[in-house]
Amino acid sequence: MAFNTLKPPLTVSIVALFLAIVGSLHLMSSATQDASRLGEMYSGLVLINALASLLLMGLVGINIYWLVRQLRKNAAGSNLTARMIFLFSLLTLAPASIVFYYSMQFLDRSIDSWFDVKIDQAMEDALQLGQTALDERMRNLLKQTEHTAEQLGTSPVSLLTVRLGELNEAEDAEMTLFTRQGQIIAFNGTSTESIAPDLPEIGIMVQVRQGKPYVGLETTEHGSMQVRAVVSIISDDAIFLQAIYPIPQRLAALADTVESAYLHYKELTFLRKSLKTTFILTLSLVLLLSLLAAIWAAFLSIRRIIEPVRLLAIGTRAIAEGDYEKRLPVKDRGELAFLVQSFNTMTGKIAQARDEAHRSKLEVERQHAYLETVLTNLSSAVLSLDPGLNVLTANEAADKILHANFQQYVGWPLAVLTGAYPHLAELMDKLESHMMGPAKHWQEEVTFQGLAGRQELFCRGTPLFGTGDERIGAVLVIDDVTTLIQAQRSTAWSEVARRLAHEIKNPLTPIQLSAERLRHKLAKTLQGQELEVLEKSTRTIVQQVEAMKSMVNAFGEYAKPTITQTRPVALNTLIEEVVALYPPPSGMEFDLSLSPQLPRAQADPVKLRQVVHNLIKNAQEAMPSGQSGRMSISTRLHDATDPSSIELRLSDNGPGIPADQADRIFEPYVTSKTKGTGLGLAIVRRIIEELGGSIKLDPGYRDGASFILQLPLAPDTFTSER
Amino acid sequence: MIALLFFLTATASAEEYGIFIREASLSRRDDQTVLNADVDYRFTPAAIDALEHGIPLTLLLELTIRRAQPYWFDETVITERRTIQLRYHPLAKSFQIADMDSGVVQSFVSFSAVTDTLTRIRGWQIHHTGSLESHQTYLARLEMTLDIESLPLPLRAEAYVDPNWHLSHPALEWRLTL
Repeated sequence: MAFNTLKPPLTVSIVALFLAIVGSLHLMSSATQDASRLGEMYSGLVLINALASLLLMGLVGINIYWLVRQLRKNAAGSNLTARMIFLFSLLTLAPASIVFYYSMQFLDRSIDSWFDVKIDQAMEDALQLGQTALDERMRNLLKQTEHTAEQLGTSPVSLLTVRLGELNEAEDAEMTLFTRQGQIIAFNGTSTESIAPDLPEIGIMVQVRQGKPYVGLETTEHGSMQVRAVVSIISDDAIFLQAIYPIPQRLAALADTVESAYLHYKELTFLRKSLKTTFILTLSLVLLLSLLAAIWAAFLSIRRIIEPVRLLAIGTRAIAEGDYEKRLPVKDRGELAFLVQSFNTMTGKIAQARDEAHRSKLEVERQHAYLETVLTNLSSAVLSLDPGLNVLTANEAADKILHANFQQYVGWPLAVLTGAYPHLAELMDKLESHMMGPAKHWQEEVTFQGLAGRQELFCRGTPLFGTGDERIGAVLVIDDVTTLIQAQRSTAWSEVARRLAHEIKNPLTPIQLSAERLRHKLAKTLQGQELEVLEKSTRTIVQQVEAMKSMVNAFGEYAKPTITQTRPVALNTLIEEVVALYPPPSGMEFDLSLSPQLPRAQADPVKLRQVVHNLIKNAQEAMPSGQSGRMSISTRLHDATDPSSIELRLSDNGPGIPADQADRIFEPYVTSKTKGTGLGLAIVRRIIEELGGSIKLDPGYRDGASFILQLPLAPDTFTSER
Repeated sequence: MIALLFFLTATASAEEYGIFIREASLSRRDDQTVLNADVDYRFTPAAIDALEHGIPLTLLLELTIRRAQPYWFDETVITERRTIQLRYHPLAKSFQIADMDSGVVQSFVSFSAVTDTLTRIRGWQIHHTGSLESHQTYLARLEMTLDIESLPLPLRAEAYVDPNWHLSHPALEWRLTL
């Protein structure tokens, strides 16, 4: 009961229940101790307390069941709760059991000490004494009654009443004469209360009828004592005399005291065992009830104490599972509640940190994607390698420039790559030697024999270093500068041509005029052989000057900046018109395979016509003399899925172009022919480039020379020409 | 005098001890309804022992008359109770029957004389019979029990669980038509 003060305050209802239990127990214990008014309530109280015990037992049972389930589920805080409950119960049970045991011992001894053999004997003796004293008196009274009966026996029946009255005058008694059937013959009583005589009971009558006179002591309803004597009148067995003598007040009072004391003692002795049982019952109920109440209260309060710990465990479990949004309810104040609050703050911080990390990760990803996009769209090939020369990244331009699928070999060493693409071996060896060398920036121009012909590559390498200055690989940037170099060359040629035309053409006319003047003046004065020399020399001068003039003119033509006016051109029609100018006697035959659904090209028709003429003429001139040439011309959309340009292909069956000239064939004065100016293809390329297209030699064509031209589509229409 | 229909379902009980109501009847005589009954008493040695050690035994005689109601609990019309106490006087070595309602005390030399006297219940007057209607069937029920609550406190708990103290037997019930 005192546990309550040791625990934190519980709810009002629990306190009220507790007080009710204590009150009920107190009443029961009072009822056990004295036979007051409470004695009537005893059974009810025992019942109520037993029910309360059952109720508490149920509550404790439910709590234990709950705890066991929590333990099985390994629920948060259940282990701590179980341990605290066990400790609490042990602490409650141990002293209570000790007190209970010694109380029982004490109770047993003290009840036993009430009874004593001497007192027992004294009580018996006192009763015996009283009985002896009364027996003496009763014997006398019986004799007296028998005497009266004898006297009455001699009287006739009709005089019995009178006779009875006479005899009774001396005695202070109530006398009755009655028959065997209980019929009253005569009655004489001194006491005014008894109107009707009080006849003896059956048991007495049985005795008297057998001839044994009866005498006995009786207690009246008023508490006084009387002696009843019944005898049969000797004369006639059918009539009986009953005499009732009152016992003197003083004697009756004494006898009553002795008797009630004796009875009380006798009752106590008889109830000795039951009394012990009752005390044990009461004490056990008190103990049981208080223990159960204490354990239940322990459950409630411990659960309250453990609650924050349990919440924390749940919370940390949630955090471990990655739920950072978990917030625990803060119920009250205190150290544990402070813990809960701190936990909430912590989870908030963690959630914030996680969000920030997520944001920065997204940012990094975005930047990475951006970088990837930049690298992909870069025209330079970018390769990154680790220190072991394994390919880490490669962009699309690398695939295009080096004609290899680098994406497939990401993570593989360069050796494997060169195994798959032998044409890369020479280049990669060169690059490797750079990268294995001293860690510094380098650059080099390399001529690369690719699958699409000779390429000029400009390679740069930069070693990469980690935070600890260790080498973590290298980045290679490779640019295809083939077209750039070609452009530089043709620009240089144009400049040379322009200057030559200007510087050489100007003195040619005075030279020619001077030579003609010399001949004109000297022809009159010279004769014979001398005249012949003069004629021959001046003629040679004039002829060579003419030749030089035409050469300079052609060169000027190549260098002259032209004005091109582009418009949509139906390429097929244009080709047919040009081919029509070369009838069979010209020594050329044509195979045309023109795509019927061809869109129009954006070009200058005059220049384009010149290009086709030049190419046909080039083929005609390349033919060995006396042999007729055959040329196939085809047109098609360059890429069916992505129509961006028109492809025009012209192939002849001539001797072809030597391999060493293939990559320079479009430069001026690079020619394999005996005829021509050496400028035809150079002009062709200039025109095509001016029109925004391109021209190249098909390196795979073996039957002669094959040129592939690409021309841009007319922007207004993608529809096919009619 | 109107003889009331009475019924008895006295079956000789196989139990050795107990208080058995063998027969009971209600009769109407001069505007008064009286109960007559025959009761068989077989007290257990434990009860007689307690009596001889000065512990008074209290007997409760209860008569209830109920009217049967078709869809509800039966309505109790009359309840009559009578309390009788048995005592022992060691000085006079006599037994007493005390009627607690009227205060009348009778003394007997032996316990068997006491039970013989109590066996025949005659002319117990039932009050408030005016509320009983004619030609109506009632359920009468007579029960006699040893009152454990009147025993001394230490004995009560024991008496509740000890079959030696359970002297009551199923009450006698019979149908009654005025």
